[in-house]
Amino acid sequence: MGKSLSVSDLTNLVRETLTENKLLANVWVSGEVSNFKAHTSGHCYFTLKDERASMRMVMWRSRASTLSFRPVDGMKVLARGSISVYERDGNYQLYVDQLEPDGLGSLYLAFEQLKQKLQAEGLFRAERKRPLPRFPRTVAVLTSPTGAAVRDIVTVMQRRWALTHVLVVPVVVQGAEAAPSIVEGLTLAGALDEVEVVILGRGGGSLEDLWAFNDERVARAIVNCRVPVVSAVGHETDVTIADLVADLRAPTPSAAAELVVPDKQELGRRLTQLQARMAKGVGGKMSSLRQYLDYLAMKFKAASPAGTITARQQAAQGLRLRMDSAVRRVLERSRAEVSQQSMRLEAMSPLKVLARGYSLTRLGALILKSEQDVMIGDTLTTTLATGTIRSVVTGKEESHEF
Amino acid sequence: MNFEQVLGELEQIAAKLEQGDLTLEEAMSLYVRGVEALARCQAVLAEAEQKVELLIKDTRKPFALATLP
Repeated sequence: MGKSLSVSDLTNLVRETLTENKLLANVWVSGEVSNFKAHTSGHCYFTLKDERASMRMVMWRSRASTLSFRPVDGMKVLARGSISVYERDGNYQLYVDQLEPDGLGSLYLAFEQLKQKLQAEGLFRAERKRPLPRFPRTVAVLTSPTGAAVRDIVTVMQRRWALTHVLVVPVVVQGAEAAPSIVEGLTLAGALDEVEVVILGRGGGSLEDLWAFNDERVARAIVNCRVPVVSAVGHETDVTIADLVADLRAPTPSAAAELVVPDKQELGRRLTQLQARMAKGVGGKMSSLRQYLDYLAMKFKAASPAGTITARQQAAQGLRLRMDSAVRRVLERSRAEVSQQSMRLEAMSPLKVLARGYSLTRLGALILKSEQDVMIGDTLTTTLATGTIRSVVTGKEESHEF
Repeated sequence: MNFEQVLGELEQIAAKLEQGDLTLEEAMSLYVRGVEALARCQAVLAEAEQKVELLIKDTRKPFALATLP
């Protein structure tokens, strides 16, 4: 009798054998749910079966919490997970990572498998995504040249930004030829130096219609394209693989055009803002300089001799006025005096007296004032108002009247 | 210079003018350059007409929306 293994060792050996198998480590299986139990702990336990076989399934709480539907007995599902052994019971079971309803069949499975594969390669990572140019010179639009998508894209581009050259690269977007056609279009567009961004788009459709956008060749061509690729598959609910690997995902072709080119109106407003900012900058400079100049002007004005000069001029003017009036007063006074004196002189003029009947008698040059001044026989000259009389003294007597 | 470069220059000029630590001569000459750049941008925006072409293999032909069904 050879050497025996313990139950534990053998179970362990079976477990290792199963878990070493790569295929069993990540496998999709389809079947019908039975005996489904959602434990209060959050973990789910059920059996998956078909006509001939059945298998235990465990879905841990962390996975079960991501379920988008409620599995019920009898439901056809697709489960993905890894096979291992539950040692206590000696059962092998599938530890379920992902559970999907099987209504979509093999397309869905293929989609999920490719998605998982590319995700593992890191192709969906945000760090891998390239930024779009701000003002692309040329945009290549890969789509059907007769569909609504190309019309939407070109219309939006024309409205927003006519500076971008649009290169429509016709591709087949549906059917078996679609994937190779899109790959060829991406290669063609990427080879042109002028092309700075690619829009890959089509209008919405069923999962089957959009199938080329879930093709691995297309996905890899997008990743390998020289310039950023914007996916624009008009179907917001179902994300395609192309959407996931594209540098930017637009919900519709119109939205893609809006994301790719700037808006003329917005840019016009931006230019107006820049204009205002520049004018404000220069204006501020000017007005602060002007204020400084005003300040200097004020200082100069305060320090200028003009004030003194004016004051002196005023003083001088005052003095002149005072001088003038003083001189005038003196003149007037003199003039008055002269006229008074001349009146007095006139009044005292002997001619006036003579006119009143008085006369002036002289002996030679002597004006006679007394009878004593003459002697009998003297010849006297008497001056009257109108002439002179010569007479001889014949007698004289003293007057006693006075 | 393409539109993007002119716009970039314009943005720089505006930022410098806003900082305000320039002499009057510098500010004025910057402002003049800015106004010129602005006029160029506006002219480009006003005059641009979109070129749309269809590329098949290595031949191109004009593509007009009106020809769509």
